[in-house]
Amino acid sequence: MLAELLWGTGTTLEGLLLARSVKGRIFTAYPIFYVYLAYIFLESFVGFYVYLFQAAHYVNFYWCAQFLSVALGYGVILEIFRQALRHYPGAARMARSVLVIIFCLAFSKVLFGALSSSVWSLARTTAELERSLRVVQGALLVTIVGLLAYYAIPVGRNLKGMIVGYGFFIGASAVSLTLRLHFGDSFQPVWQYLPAATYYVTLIIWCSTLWSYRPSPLPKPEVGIERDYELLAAHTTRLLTQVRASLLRAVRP
Amino acid sequence: MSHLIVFLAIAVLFVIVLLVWALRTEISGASKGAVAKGSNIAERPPLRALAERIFAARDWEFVSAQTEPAIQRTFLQERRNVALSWLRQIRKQAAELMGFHRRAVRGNIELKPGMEMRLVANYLAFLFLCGILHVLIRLRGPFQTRKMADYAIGVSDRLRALSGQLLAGADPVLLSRVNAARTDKSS
Repeated sequence: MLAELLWGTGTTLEGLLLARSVKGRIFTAYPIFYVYLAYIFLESFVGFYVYLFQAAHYVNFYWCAQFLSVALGYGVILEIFRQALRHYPGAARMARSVLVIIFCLAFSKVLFGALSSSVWSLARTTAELERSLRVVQGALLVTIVGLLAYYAIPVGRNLKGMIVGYGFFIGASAVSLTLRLHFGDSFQPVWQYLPAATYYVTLIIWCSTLWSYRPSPLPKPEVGIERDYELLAAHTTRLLTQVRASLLRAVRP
Repeated sequence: MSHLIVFLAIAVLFVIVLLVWALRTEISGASKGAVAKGSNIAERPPLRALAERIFAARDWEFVSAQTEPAIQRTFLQERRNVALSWLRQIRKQAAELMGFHRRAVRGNIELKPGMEMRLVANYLAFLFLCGILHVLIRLRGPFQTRKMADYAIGVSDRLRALSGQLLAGADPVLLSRVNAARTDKSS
């Protein structure tokens, strides 16, 4: 009963988000994110149908659908990267370099772990792979957030909600998958509800932040301020070097 | 089991980091504040006179020769506080310079990631040295740590030189404008 309730509420929230995105034309602003959401929405219905009428195939369906969902989740990370840094080409260039390094390191670790795994079963292997891919997503997301904080890049309500919501989802998925892998079948009673419940929280975050279009603030369009700012930076660097040189003369005997 | 706990702790920390970032990020007035702060750096008076007095050995030579131990202790304590304050000010200036630099280059497509990473590494080294100096001044007083102060400033100078190169390489048009502005000011 609780599973059906969570499914019904979750799907309603997804439907609401998609409807709002069409009505408010938010879909065009964040297309990859809404493709991901539409996929999850459709997958919920198909999954429910398979659960009710093709129960024997549900496990296979579930893990295959999860794998595709994780793959599309990388699209959400790409959307976040694209939206957050599109007006800051310098920071985007830096982010690309750092993200490529992080991705290569994390992905090769995942690949190595998967290849060296001795036990194989669809559920266990897919769960391990999903968890590892979620960890890579988490690493990429935290890197993007770190760069946004480092370069003091302002982020709008929509994007912030997307980041926090998806970040929470990644964290919660990794936790529940870890618990499932560690405790095995004894965790099954909780496992039935935990992913849906955590996804429900994610949907609430998304509904509260993506209800209407709130883009990230644009950098000041007038050339004067931007260039003056840079001019000031260069000027200040020169002045500080002079101050430091005089300080050095004072401190050294 | 310990592996599980570590993994869960990292996941929880990850969510907390995201939440803290989301709650701390203020959209309005961020760039205005940055510009105001940056412009202050350029207008600050030099710290030369202050630094000269803090680390000058002749003050201590006079006090240690002419006064009683209680006064010497008070003198050392006060001088230590002033030295720590000076160090905080230097660290603050470096932090503001870095903030200033980041905001200046974030929109520049010519940014060089390798150079940026070196700059960050230099800045972290500078912060590390500031931390060591802080401990040394606190433990041994300003007069005993003078050599370390020299070294910290040397590293800071390297940081500044590198930042200067970055800014100079950022935009040739801007650089020519800076030079023009300097020429106007000096003439």
